[in-house]
Amino acid sequence: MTQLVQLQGIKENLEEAGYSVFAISNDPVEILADFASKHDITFSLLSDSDSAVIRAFGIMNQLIRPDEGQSMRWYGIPYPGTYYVDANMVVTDKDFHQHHARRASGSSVLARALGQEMEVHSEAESVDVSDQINVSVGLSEPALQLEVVSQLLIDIEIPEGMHAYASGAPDQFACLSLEVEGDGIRIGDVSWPASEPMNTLGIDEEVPIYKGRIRASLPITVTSDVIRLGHEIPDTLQVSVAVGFQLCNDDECFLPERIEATLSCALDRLVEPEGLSIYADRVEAIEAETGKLVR
Amino acid sequence: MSQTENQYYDEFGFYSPQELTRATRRQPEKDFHTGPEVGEVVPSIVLPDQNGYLINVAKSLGSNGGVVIFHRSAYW
Repeated sequence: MTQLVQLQGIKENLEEAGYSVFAISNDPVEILADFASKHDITFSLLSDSDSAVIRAFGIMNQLIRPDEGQSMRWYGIPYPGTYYVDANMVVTDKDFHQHHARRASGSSVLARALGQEMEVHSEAESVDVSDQINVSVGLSEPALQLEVVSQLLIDIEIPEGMHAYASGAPDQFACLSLEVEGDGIRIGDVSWPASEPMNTLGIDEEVPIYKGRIRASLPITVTSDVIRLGHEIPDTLQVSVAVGFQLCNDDECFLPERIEATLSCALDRLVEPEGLSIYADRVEAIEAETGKLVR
Repeated sequence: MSQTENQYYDEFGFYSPQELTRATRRQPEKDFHTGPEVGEVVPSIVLPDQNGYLINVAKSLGSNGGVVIFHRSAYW
């Protein structure tokens, strides 16, 4: 599974920062051993084969009856999610997903565990409006994968001596805004950094502003629409990002503007054929052995 | 496995060799249980790893703690 491979990639960074990594599923030990040796996984893949720990956490998927999907170990699967715990096993943060196929990307886990800003690991697209604003758009991963929640990272550089308005500023100012569009993607809510308060002449209240370089981010996930777009699965997806802003200095304000950047996002292979073929083989073996259809 | 293309992809793009009508393809309401909340101690985790060694997570945490991920399966 791509998430475990991505986690292997961040294992050392996490360990250097004093965090260990554990991944828990209801896979039997032999499945985990096979996967670990094929993909060089060295962190702990824990086998909760009777779902005792999953039940103790209260996160077993309740939609699956005991008699359903036994051949593929559907009964007993957890709702997928991540707990960040301190050295005393106290939860400091957590992140859960509604659908069993969805999972956080390796970079997201690392940034969340360490409270760090994410690095851009993809090709980035920059738009520079001379003397005004520089916008650079990139991804937290080199490529997007189906149902892996990556982050779209938007770096906005506000020139020295200028400021832009943040959400909460009075109506007469155009706040910094983002619009993201693209086929075959699902976009989450934008996370903006904390703004700073500024006293503005003629206004009694403090106005929230941004200065210098700021980073906005939002979750981006490839959906099945890319499959439905046509028979050929594309290698890349186009994501357009529009940034609306109004810049001011201490003396004057400029007109609100809007600039657009289009990021070409690489797509990793969308389906893990290894898993499918292994489970298909298991089903066929069980059917051959029992003479019953189990799929 | 005889199956036609795309028949097994759900609206999230998740592929499984099971029909979309099967219970295993349903997804929960938004208020599903997500276990211990921030500030709570998680239940004890003592499980075998991929090498067959019994791992006690509480005793294997780093100096600052750890990341505990629950997932569908290594192969999904």
